[in-house]
Amino acid sequence: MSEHERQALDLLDARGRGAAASLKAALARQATETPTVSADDHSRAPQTAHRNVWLAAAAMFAVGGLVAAFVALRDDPRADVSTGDPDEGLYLVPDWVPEGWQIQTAQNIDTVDGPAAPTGEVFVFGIDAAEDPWAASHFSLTIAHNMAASNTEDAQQIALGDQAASMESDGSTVVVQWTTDDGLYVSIAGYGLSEEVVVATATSMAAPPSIPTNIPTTPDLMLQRALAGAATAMGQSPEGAPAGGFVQMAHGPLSATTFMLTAGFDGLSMVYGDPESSVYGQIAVLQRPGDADDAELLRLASDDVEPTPVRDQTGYVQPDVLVQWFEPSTGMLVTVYGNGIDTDILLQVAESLRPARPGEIAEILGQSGQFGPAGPLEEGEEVVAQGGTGGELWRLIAQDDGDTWKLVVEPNNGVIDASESKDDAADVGVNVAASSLGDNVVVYGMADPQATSVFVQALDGSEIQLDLYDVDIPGWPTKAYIGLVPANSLADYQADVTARDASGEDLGSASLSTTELVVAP
Amino acid sequence: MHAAERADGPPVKGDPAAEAFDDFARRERPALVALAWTLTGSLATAEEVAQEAIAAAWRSWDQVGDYDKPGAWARRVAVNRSASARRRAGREERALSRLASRREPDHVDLPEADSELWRAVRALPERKAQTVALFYLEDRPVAEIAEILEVAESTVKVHLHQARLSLARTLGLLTEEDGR
Repeated sequence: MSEHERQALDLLDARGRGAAASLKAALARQATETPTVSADDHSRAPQTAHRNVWLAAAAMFAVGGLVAAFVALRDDPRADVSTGDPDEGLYLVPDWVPEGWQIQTAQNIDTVDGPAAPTGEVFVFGIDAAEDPWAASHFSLTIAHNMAASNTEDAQQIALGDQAASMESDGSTVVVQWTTDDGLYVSIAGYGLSEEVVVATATSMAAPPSIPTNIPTTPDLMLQRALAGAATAMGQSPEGAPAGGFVQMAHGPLSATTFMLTAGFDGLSMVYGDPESSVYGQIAVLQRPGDADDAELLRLASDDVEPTPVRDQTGYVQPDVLVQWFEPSTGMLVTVYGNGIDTDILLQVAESLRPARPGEIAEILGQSGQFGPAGPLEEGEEVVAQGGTGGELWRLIAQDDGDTWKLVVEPNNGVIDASESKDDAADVGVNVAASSLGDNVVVYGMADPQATSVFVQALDGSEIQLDLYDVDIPGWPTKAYIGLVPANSLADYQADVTARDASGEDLGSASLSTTELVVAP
Repeated sequence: MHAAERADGPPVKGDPAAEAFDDFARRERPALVALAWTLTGSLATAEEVAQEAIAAAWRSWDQVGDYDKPGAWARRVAVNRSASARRRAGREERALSRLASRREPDHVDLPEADSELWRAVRALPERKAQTVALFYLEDRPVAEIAEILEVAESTVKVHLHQARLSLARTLGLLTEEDGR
């Protein structure tokens, strides 16, 4: 924190405490000016208003007890404890990153600006008796605000009683998701479970009465519904516990799961990269409040996530992608993310983390966005388009990445890309990726070579046209598109993209949750 | 923290539990009103919320009275009910506006600078507003704010940090670029 900011916050704190004293005095003054109700009035109150009589009496006691209350507050040891600097000891910074790397972007993750980020909670149910419950059949229940069900081409529209839903399956995972009339997002993802079981579980969840919207405190009743649905589908009685052999294995905030790790929470994001290199090689260090149990939710992200010791804690590693653990020294859930970076390097960064020195976080935040000019291209890469916004330069780069065609955006690369395997790329109607750049969302991807227009649906229903480009890399089978869209113009953090040909016929559509864009590096 | 409910009747004079509760109610009510007003901006609502919190404490006094910090329990109730009241107010705003002429005065006489600050607090996201209200209004340490709000201390620290930066910007103490 800079000296200027510290002085401003000191001024604010003084003003806040002064306003608090002023408020208490004003309330006390107005309370004494308010006519009180006599004890006789209480005695005449109807018996049916028993509780209300008591409430009125409590109010009167307070008027008489104002002075005593203030003395009591002053004598309360809690009121004398110094609040100290709330920023102190909050974040860790890496003492080691690969040679030559430097801070690229850093920002406080603040959900105040822009549309509300998704918030919610995730439950995981599994078979407790299994040797590794995460490797056995299990399912997750996600309930969230500000989140929309994805609408991919592969999604099958189904009915859960009166509730419309979509279902997708990749062979090992079946996901059923829907949005309630109250705007609540609900999904059931079954791992190693049949579609029948997952749909029955979802049907049980979607049955009336509707799910209360006051998450993150999902009532036990709702969880029992999910368990009962699963048990029924598996031919077992929903009576008794644990239903269907499933027990709750994990529970935590949405932000503890991989793809939500950059949204819906408060914390700090720091991204390091090599200024001399091209698009590969970036490591993001994300820190947000959490607890020890949250780290394990990473296992929802991928089958190959394994527990591993990190900084004397039980951490979880997705090889060459990320490391996540709970850091007791700061009370933060920490994720070191570097898609394609060796696990050993990710762990080395993790082990090097140390408490930030006074002013160091402010210094890092100040360096954000000062990343040097884009590095040279590597073999098999081509700049498809480039431009600038808000003082930041961007480039859309196409890559021949072995078995994959890949599109990435600088400087927001290394974590998110639009890619297709070379076997499948010719059949793509449109795919989509997105990342944040200043106040904009960069939406980009591949589109059918017959496409003459690609647009993203805006919050108001209008179509925001994106720019189409040819890619000159030999064998590249699609067009590429890109556009910068104001972040607040997208509906519910959902980017729905459609490609059309010259006749106006839709060639394909794709959507993605842009939740990760709040701070996506 | 869940408290068992007791009979929904008034305390009986001479009953030690009732007398302890009376002390509690006298001591805590002004602070509960102030906290609820900070979060709702309505004195009538704040009075109602404070009374609801005190009544809830009485209904569960057999258990709440044994807590180390029954005031923290009551504040949690007040914070939650303030949030509910605020949401309800949003829905009812249009209907209530028709009745405005018949409503009792519902303001607190404060210097404009103070009113501006509290308006800015109420404009914060819900959890941040609650955190900063407890921080300024009651000078609570982070650990106690975390206990009241049932969140991690680190969550409180982050909320405080970001809420204060946001307030400083809103009140012109910092520019939009500071602290980003």
